[in-house]
Amino acid sequence: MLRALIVDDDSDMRFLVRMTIEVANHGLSVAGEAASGADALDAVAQDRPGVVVLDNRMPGMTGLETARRILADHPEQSIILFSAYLDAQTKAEASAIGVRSCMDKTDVDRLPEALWQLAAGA
Amino acid sequence: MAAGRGRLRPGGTAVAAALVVVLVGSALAWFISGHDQDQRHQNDSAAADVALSTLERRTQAIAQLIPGSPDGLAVLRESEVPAILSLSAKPGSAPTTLLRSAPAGVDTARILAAARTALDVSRDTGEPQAGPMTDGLVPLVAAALPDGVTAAGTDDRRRLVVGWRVALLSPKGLLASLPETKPRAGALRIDDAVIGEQRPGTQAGTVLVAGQPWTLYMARTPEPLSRGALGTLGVALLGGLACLLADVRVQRALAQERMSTAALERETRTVAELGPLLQSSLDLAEVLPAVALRLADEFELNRFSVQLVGEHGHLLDVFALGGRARDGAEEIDISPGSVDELPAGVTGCLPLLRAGRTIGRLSVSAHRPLGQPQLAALSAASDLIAVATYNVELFEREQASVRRLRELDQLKDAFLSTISHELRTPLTAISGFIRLLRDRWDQLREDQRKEFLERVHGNTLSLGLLVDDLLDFARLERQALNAPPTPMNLDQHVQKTLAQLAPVLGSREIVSELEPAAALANAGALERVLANLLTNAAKFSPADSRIEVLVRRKGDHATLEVADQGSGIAAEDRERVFARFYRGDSDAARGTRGAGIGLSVVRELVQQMGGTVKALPNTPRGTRMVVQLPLDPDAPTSQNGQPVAAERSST
Repeated sequence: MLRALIVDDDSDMRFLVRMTIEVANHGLSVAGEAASGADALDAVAQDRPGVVVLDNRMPGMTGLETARRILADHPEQSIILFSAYLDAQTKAEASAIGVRSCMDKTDVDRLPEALWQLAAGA
Repeated sequence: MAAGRGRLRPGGTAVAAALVVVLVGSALAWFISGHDQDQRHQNDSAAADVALSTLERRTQAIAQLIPGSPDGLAVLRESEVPAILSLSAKPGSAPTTLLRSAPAGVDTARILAAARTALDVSRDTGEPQAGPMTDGLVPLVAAALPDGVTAAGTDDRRRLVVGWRVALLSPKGLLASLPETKPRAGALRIDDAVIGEQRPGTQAGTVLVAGQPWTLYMARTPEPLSRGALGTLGVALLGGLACLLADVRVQRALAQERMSTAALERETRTVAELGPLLQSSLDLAEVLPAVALRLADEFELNRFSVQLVGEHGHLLDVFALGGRARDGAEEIDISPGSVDELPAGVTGCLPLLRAGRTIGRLSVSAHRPLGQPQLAALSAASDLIAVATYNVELFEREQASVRRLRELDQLKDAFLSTISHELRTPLTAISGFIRLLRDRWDQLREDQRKEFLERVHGNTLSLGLLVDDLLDFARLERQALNAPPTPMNLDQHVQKTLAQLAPVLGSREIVSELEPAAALANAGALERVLANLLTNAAKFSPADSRIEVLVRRKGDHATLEVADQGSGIAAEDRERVFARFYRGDSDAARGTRGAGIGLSVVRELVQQMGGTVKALPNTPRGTRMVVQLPLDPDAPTSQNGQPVAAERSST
């Protein structure tokens, strides 16, 4: 079972991702939600999720900064950067930090597939 | 008195009389001392410094004979006054010191002033010159060139001159000492020539002074001196002095004429050179000091200031040399045709004109009076300064315009980026929920489907509000935003709008306290104002926090307040948040949503309704936005005159 932590400042998006994962089911579950990067750091430290689905543009700490801090403490943590703005620079930066993959928010229906591939790869 | 070759001719009435008085003493002393100065073969065309050195030797010999004379002869040589000869000799410069210690009754500054003209003429003509007699002394000066160098002309000489040779003769001292001397009658020898007696008591002869042969006459002094002789001597002395003074005046006039020509030439050149100097840089701070120094040097200015018209029409000092004139000090307009002369120490002003308007003012004051030629030159200089400063102004305006355009470009980019984010976020959510409903309809429970549809609705509403903001903003930009106030029940409209907005406020708890208030407002505008204030409050406050909405009556107006428990607005930003495109630095850094147009629309709408809006800190934290709207003066009041009990509700 791959447990996902959903990190997004928008409650609708968190709910959408949660429902997408829960409806897909098959080996996927939601470990929890965080509305900010700071909350995400706490959640990762307390309840090591299998994957972090991480928004980038958030108040306070950005997704990339959150990923950097998570990976500094937990280099093996799987992270998917889940953003509405994925340009080449953001993708390159994410890859350099150690983020496993990037996904556009408009492709939310393909999120379960990406998570299954991640679980298979792991 | 000794003078430049060709300036005063032996035999001239004034000169001859002067020589009787002055050179008799010189020749007499020379004779008594027994020195035989070999000057017979002095060539009239000898270099000026050679001529003067001859003069120095002679006068030195005289000086030895008149010890203790209070107005005695002063001979200044290199060893005695090194400052004179060590001066650099740039055109226009002059020694600052002539006497190391002035004899009693002699004002060094006055002597210096007297010598200045002679110094300039001597430099330009290459001939020794005599200055006007001052305090009983006559300055004799000659420009000194480096050894073995011959100047080709005036310009060359100005460039080459390395210093000055200066002698101060004291005819008055010589005359005063004359009765006490005991010359041997009939034996005055000059240039190896023995001058025979012309008539009893008078001697005549020729002597070289500054390379020029002069005829000398000598009144022999009998011993003891009779009263009659004393009287005759007195008359001769007075007459001689008068002639000397006349000669000095002639010399002065000639020298001044020469100086005027030379000065005019120099002034014209200075002004001509200002053009390239002013064009050398577009930095006024760099150019104006150089111009000021150049003009100050040429016109002996002790004050030079340039003021330019500032943004609000007042004059700003952009450069000042020598400080500003005292408040209330006399200032005169020295524009061409206004005055004939600017007296020394008085400040004169010239307007700086360009493109048909006054762009500033040039103020000057000089140590010496400035006449028409100098004022015309300064006026020409002011025109050049006006052109230069105007060019700088144009350049700076252009630069500012470019900077502003760049800023606008950046604002536009930021706006587009933000607005696309604002549009995309709810669209992404709507699209996601719709797709989930479409693809997984059968797997979803009824309550889940309802929840999805509610969220789609909420996001659609958010999009609608954003589009309304954009439209209002566009109207505001073209001044077409119109919200005329009409009488309405403010509390009821707020209540209704709150219900409509609930889906976009998420999990925040809305607590409203709405006191009945008949106000003057516009229903559509009020809805837009409240929607903006509430969505802002929700955006900047934590989930599940409380947002208060209050309507109250206060005096002749009603207040609508929206208070959140968010991070609040910094004091310095509380006014700026209403500016278009303004997003606080912290907002931008945090990536909080918002295009920076909502509150500018709010302020405009509130003003259209005759009200005001301001941002205040909330207690204990957050922001309290307060909208004031006028109460409807025609609305009926409560029966007992007491405020109607507030309605309380919780959403």
